[in-house]
Amino acid sequence: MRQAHPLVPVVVIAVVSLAGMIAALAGDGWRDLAAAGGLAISIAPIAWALRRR
Amino acid sequence: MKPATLKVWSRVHTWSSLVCTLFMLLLTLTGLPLIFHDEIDHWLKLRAAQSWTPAQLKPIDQAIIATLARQPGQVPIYLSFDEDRPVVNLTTGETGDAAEAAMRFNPIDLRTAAPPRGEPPQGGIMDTVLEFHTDMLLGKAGEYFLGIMGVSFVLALVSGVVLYTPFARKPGFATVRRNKSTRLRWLDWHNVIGGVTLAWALVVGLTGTVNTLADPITAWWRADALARMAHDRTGPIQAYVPGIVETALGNARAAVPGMDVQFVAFPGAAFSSHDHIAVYLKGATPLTAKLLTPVMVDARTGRVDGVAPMPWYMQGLLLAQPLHFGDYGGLAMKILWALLDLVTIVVLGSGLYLWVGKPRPARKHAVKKQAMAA
Repeated sequence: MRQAHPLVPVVVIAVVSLAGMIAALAGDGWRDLAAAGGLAISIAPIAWALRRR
Repeated sequence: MKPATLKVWSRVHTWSSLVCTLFMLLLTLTGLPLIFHDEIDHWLKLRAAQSWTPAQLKPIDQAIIATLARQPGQVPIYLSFDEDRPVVNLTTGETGDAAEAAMRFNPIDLRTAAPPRGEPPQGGIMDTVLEFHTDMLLGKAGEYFLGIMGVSFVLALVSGVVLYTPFARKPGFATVRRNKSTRLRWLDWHNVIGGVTLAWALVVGLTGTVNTLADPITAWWRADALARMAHDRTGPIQAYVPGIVETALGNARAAVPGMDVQFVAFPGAAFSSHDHIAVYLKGATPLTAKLLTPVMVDARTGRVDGVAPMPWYMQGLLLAQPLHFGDYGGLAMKILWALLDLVTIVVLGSGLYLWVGKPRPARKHAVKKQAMAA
């Protein structure tokens, strides 16, 4: 199977977290949740890498 | 990528990182408490919830006159409003266009037209932390210097992504090779954390740089759009007319219904003209509350002379502030922002470690010579 370009996950995480940060600027409620979710996606791979010790 | 190209990007990454690392460490450390400035301020001041009725409050102009009477030679520059208590904050100076360092900050309790009881006249520890974060206590020179460091940080991020691509092929995404040397393990951590926090770091780095340019951007706006709207003139700064602020606030609210007053800039201030009181209104939605609309009111008559939304570059500047500090999306967002700040410290520290521990050609040569002699 062909391996994905190494930048693909980085770009996906960047786009999702950026969308979350901008969404929270535009409103409260679900938009704040979207921002928290977007930022959590940036932290999750670090937690995952730590767990694989 | 050709080895020569890779070498160039590697040099760009090394030197752009080295130039800014120390200052970025300082900014990430001072930025951490600033994310929670509301909570820390609330905890430090331990202010009990206050209740009041509009009938208890004295007119704003009476509070301004009383404050100016206590400080002869001072003129009003800005006026802002506390949200949780009936207190207005009057910034004064010797002239309407006084430098920021020469301004005085005067909170006034509208129930008494006097300073709130038991409160120090100047800001507390968080104001000092903010000042350190903004300019390292070095004024405008420090602020612009940190702006240059911000540009260097963004360059380090971009060059880091370019370098990440060929190196990440081997271990794969979010993988730290445990069975390799300490140096390689830290290289993997540097790449993993740097890669996944890229968007956040770019946003914080770019907005921080934009914030350091607040003065020139505001000066440009004042000379451009604001001057056109206010039909600016270059004569003397109009003196404060007692009673004019209540009139200006009433007329500004009537001109743009459904908006609240955020702050007032008196004649001569950076956010006003020489003969206008600029009333800055904020909208009711979370987004429009951050994008202010100035209403230019004649400082002699109280008549509204112009209303216009800010141009794109001023709106960008206003949005850069919440986007930099991450204090606009509730406590969950603040905690995540703080975690991202902490892991950025790891990226900066590991980058420094990788550079310090890098095998140098001279050192390699000496080792080779020793081995040959043995």
